Amino acid sequence: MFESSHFHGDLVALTEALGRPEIDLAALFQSLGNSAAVAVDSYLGLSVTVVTENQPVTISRLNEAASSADAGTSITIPLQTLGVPERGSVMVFYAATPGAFVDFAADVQLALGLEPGVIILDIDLTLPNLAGEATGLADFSNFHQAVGVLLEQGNTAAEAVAELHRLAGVGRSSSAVAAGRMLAGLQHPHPPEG
Amino acid sequence: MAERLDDSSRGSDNREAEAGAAGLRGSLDDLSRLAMSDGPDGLETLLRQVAEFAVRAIPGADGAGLTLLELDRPATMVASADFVRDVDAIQYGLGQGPCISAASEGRTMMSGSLHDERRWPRFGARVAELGVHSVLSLPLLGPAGPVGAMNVYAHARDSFDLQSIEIGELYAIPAAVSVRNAQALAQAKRVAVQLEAALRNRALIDQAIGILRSRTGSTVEEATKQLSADSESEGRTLATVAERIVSAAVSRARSRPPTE
Repeated sequence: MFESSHFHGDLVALTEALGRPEIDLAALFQSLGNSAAVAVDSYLGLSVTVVTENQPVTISRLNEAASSADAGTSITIPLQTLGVPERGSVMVFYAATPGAFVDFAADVQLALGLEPGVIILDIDLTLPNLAGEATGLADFSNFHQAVGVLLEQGNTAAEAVAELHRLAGVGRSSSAVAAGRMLAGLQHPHPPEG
Repeated sequence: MAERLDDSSRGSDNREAEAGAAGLRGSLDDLSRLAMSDGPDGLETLLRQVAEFAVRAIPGADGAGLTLLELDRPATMVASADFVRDVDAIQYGLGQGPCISAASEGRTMMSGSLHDERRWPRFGARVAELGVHSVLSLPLLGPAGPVGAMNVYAHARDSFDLQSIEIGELYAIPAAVSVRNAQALAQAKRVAVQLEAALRNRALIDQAIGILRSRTGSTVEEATKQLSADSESEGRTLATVAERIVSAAVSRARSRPPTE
């Protein structure tokens, strides 16, 4: 399996955005993969999806075993249980052997003090396509650039987001597509107000 | 493996065995109720609790320490008591000792007389001076080999016996699973929190790029270059510079007169 051609560049850009030289997102993902492989037999990989303003960004990392195995089991952990407030954000681990996550799920549930049903097994058994991939970043970027354009035009942040959703509805598209259209139409400079 | 016990000692040995089993049961129950601490990732607190439960489970123990080996981070070491920390510091400073042997060989190490212990002569002599004479080191095993070791120490000589080994090895099995799972969970938290922070900053940076593009008609690349140049000249991070640009735009929006 191959990584997407942009994968490392995407992780480098996100690490740069963090602005903390001691933290390397690629290294964090690698460490997590190593630990998960030790903790869970037949571990194949993981994907992490963070959803902000309805814009999902997913980072996936699979190990070599995933090139010749299908996911027989998975565990889905809401990121709200891991200290990330965004609703709908999840971390999914995959393994080949059915039942491989049963003990891990029990320990996670106990360690985090979760009610039954918060951690879900086997809801997602579709492995990501590539060994390393970051999806949704282009739409995420367009969306927030468009928010910036609308802020510059005198909108508040809430008005900017609402306007993008309105345009999406009018155009029967996603807000990311509406954002892309807005950015494509940028031709004339707009001096700052006031 | 266990030595035969003669009849005269069987009564007191049964009571000791029951006490040992009760201690193990209690510690296993406690192990199952461990909760993540409010520290950065909870790992050290969890490991310290595993060490403390081991002291309760294993007869003769005065203190316990736990070492978790990680491929790409310094080893995590915790102790249930200060003297354990001192003993483990000696061990790792010398590069010899029962925990190192247990972790590297994947088998239990025991000594009842560290003062004249030939397997770790320098370690044994040093810790005997601290008043620690007995040790039981148990490997914590993962699917691919040892992931660390648990050291149990006692001040008295010959504090540990075959029952201690049996109970310790029984305790080490669920302890190792909990430790491996906790390590993975702690790293999952780190990834989630840092990725979310990176995307939050990325959103600000993209909004600033949008503001600059709207203002100057520049391309993404040109606006990004300007942000980077500002970041370098001001000695601030990209996100900090972006936040300043976005905040200024938000302030202007808030101060505009309401449209009629």
